[in-house]
Amino acid sequence: MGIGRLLDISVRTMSTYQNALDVTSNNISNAGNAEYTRQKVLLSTEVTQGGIGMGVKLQDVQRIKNNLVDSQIRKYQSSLADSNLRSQILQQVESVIAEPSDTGLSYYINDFFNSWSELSTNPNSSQLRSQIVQKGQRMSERFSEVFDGFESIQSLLQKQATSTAGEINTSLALINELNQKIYETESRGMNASDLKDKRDAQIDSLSSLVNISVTENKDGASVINIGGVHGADLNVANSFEIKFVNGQMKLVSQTDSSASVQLSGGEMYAISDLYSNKLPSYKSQLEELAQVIVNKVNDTHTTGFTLAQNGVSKTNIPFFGETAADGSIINSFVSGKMRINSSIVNDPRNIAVSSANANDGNGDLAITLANLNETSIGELSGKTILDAYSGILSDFGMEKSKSDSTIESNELIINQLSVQKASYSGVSLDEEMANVIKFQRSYEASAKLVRVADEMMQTILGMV
Amino acid sequence: MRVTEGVITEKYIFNQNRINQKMLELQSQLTSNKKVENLSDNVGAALDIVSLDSKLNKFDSYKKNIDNAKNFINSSINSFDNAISNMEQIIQKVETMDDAINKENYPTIIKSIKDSVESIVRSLNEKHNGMYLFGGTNYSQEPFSFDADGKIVLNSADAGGELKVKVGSNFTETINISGDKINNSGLISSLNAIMDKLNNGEAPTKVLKDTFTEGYNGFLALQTQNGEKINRLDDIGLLLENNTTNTQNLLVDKQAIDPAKLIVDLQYQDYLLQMSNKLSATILPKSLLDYI
Repeated sequence: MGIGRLLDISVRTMSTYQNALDVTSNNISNAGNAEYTRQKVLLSTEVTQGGIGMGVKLQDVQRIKNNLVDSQIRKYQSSLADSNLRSQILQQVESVIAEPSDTGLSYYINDFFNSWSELSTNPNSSQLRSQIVQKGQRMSERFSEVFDGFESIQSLLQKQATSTAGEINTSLALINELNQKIYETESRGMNASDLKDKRDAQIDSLSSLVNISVTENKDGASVINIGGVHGADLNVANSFEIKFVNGQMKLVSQTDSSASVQLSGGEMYAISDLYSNKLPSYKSQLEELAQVIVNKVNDTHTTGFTLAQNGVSKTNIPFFGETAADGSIINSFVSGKMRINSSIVNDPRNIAVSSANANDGNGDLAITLANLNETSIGELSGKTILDAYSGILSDFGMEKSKSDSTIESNELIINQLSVQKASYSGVSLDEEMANVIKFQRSYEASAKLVRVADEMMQTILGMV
Repeated sequence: MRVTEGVITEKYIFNQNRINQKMLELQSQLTSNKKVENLSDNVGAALDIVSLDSKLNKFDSYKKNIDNAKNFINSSINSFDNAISNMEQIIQKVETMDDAINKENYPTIIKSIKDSVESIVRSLNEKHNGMYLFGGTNYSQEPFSFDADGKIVLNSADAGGELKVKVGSNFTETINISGDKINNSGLISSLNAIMDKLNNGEAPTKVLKDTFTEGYNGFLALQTQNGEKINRLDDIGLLLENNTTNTQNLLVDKQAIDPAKLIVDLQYQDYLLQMSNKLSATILPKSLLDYI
């Protein structure tokens, strides 16, 4: 019986250390796998019998994980993804705005007003008059190019939103599927560490797309909540789609469109915020500026007299738009386009810069119009045209700059958190190799004990 | 802290990425020769550049206006010179009429004086780039002509218009001598009075000659105004040149790179990169595994 116990302990020990070596080898083979969470073998002594120890047993294989660090990483990952995409899109907007350069709006606005200044030196010059029309058209085209650029970026954002919503749905379906597999595996008393790693990776990836909160229920399933709307759990995976309400892009549940996600992070937030708020705001500020230029130029121009044609000058002619039958100015600024009066485009003599009738050498209003670029304008909150434009540029530049700094700070934080995660959950080859030696030695020693037990048996058999 | 291979790799990649980003930024500045390429590179500096560029554009426009204005005034001066030369000839010829021996030459002298008067009127009707130099702002007709009695008349009732040119921010200069001013100098009326006498075959009286000399002096005073305008425009042009130079210097401060400094910075980042690579090559693969 005594020798049998020895054999029994030895065999159990060999089996235990073999299992321990399996876990260690799994750790070693996954040392380069960033998604992998290291596993630790928990050994304990076998229940004693009659005061004598019965050897060792593998009590558990533990997944070494720090949930707090994981949730922090997801939080900052979400913010980083938002800032990253925001910065990329704003970079596209930045190339549309093209400031500071000779192709920016400021250049064309200045050029337009400077051309009025030049007309003051020779008010009846047909060449200088044609130049004003050309500069006005170029300024108008540049405004249009900027507006078109914004619209094209918005259209891309719309497509990207649909694609991102699809990715969110796929991710939620996968998490739901993994929740079920983990539940089934653990119900059978098996270790589901690898499946949990996959689920964690999927949740991490989802956090880059949209702001989420994750809790674990009593069945061990991850319950995902997306901005206040249920995302996935053990039983169901919700599906989302993009809806537009009053020009605002919303992520809503496909089954209940009133369940709108409160976006605050991830790529989806960047897409939605830029599409619904930021781009329309930049566009409307620029439209307002263009409208003020149109109105102010018209206010002065309509008071002026054209070059005398057959001895008569015309007056009350708008530079932008046309005069309607009721005397009002129409079609001066339509769909982002400043439209120069066709009678001026066709015949620049109709530019009206004289403050007196049939006074072709009078360029008083050309000077007034040139001065407009340096005058504080009430409609622009007392700013000059350039200052108002600089204000718009400043808002935009600060937003892009803020995104870039957020990327930098988030990268730093995520790096620190990733280091913490790698320190806590990562595989150390030194540690694992030490374990290999330790477990191998224990296994060898146990094998030796079998031989000792065998020799003891042989000794007893030799006595017979 | 438990240092795993993952910790070392994470740190290495993060630092490597930062060095690469810095190198990319430096390379971009070197190749574009600009410190600020986009708004977000430095919002404050970018807005300053927009504002400075705008100032430079305006200065260029003012300088162009000054050049045009000076051309106009120089044309005025040339016309004035021509008119003055003819006036001096008139003074000289009128003086010869006082000499009794020239009495028989009166018809020739009178014709010569009339030619000079016509030449003066032609000078006063000169144009520059389609603009009557002395017609005020009314270009519908020649400012001066002869009436049926052969007297010089100012044609327009509004020949007093000023041709103003923008030469600075909210700052204009009047560049023309209007027909009204010439008319008010006394020159035209004194010329007409002399012509009256000549048409009667008489020599102008001393009073008439003195009045004409006064008109001539008044005309000279207007020419002096032209000279003063040129001088003032030259001064403004000089001021604009200085302002342009200062603004360009400010722009260079905001925009231009220091290639030497950037290259040294780039070299430093390259050292860091090499050092990081070397250290990583030494540390990363080493573990107990290498010694078993």
